[in-house]
Amino acid sequence: MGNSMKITAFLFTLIAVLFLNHSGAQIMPLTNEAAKLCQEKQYRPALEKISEAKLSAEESADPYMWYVDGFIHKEIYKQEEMGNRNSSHRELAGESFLKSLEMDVHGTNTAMTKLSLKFLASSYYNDALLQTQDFDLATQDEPEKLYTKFKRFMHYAEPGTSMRKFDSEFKKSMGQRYFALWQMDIDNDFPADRAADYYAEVVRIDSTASDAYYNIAVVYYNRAVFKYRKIGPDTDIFDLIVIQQECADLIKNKALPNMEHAYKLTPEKGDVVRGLMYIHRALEHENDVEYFKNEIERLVKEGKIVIPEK
Amino acid sequence: MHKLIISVLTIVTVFFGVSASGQKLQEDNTVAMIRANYLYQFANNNNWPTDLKKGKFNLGILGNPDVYEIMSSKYGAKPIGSQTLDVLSLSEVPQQITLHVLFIDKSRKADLPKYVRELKDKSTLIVTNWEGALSQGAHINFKNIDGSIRFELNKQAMEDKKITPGVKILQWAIQ
Repeated sequence: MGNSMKITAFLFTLIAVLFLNHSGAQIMPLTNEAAKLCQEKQYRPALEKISEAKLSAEESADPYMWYVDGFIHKEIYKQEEMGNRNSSHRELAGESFLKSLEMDVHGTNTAMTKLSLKFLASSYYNDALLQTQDFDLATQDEPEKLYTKFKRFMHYAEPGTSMRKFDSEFKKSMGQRYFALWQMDIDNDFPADRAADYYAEVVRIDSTASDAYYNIAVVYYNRAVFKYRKIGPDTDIFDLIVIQQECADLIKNKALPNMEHAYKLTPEKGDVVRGLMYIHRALEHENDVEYFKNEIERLVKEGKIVIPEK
Repeated sequence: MHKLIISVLTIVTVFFGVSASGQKLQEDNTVAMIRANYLYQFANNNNWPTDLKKGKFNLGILGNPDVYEIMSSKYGAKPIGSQTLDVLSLSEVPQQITLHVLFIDKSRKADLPKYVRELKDKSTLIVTNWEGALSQGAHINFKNIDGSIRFELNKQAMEDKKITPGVKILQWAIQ
């Protein structure tokens, strides 16, 4: 209750300040007309008007004109292009808000401009995350482009805001998508490498990200399994030995250390304990297999994990 | 003067995330996959006496269901020379069937001396997977070296059984 009252008071103060600060705005007839059209939600005519204002040396020298321009593009984006990840009006809105911010040396419109930039930033972030769920190898760079825009606008909207949480979530989501793409074509190691790279970035950002360590281990372990699955009647004994050496490296030097890291962070997580059991089984570490088998039994008894149905 | 007072009220900033679920680890028994392939290589690359080159090529597995599953699904019914590979899951070694290859898993380690005795007059290649099995009468024994499965063999013991080790088998055996 206290907070909402404070916010309401802040908004009223802000509005009052904006009115007062633009008491001399009679010299900006085109911009004001555009603003009036905005209040009537007539954004297309407003856009025409503000385009005229841009041609006026006097009006285009005022940050308020750029703020109004950004506002119009933002509203058109919301009305007409919401969901369009390549929205041109969103782009134009962002650039105009940045210009307004840059010119607004007295800070007249700064608070509202930053709020608007934060709105645009959030839309880029959401689009970037959405795109991480459906990109393919032809469009794999798109999420990063959107995410870069998010970071740029956030930098101006809320300078000093930590990006760790956002970076971590975005990279985790990129890793998941690359992993999914790999499952669609397990002969292509490229998405597997990308998935592992993104998860590795997650653990660089957050060394307590057990899920990311686990996922790196899964990428390398599964990669070895997929190679082993190709062994068959036509495999030469020499190839069998070469495949094994490659797989031993994946399992022993890449999957195991990451799974052990995940285990240190989350020793009672079923997937991790099971993962370690399978990795040690692949390396024929019998004592470790026995240990983790017992751990699974203990965790099941204590109701901490549930055995997945086959 | 028409200030855009509405803007402050209409901006709703929403950041949403995606759930970060763990990926699925493949549960295949990779060691069993490799052993199964080696058993197939042993069947294909060694030479048995002429009287055992008729009928089916019998490969018995004692005590390791995973090796049996992989062996039968991937290599079952494949030709071994002019014979067809028949993979058998065993709880005991049958008297009435001549086995060309018998894999005794570590879990049945205690049975090795008994089967060495029972099969002493037969050309059955005994394959095992534990340390010291060659000295107990096995002919080929799997060893794990740095995460890779290799094998050691007792050439003389194989030849005593009239089984001639193939060049590839000799070449890749650990000395």
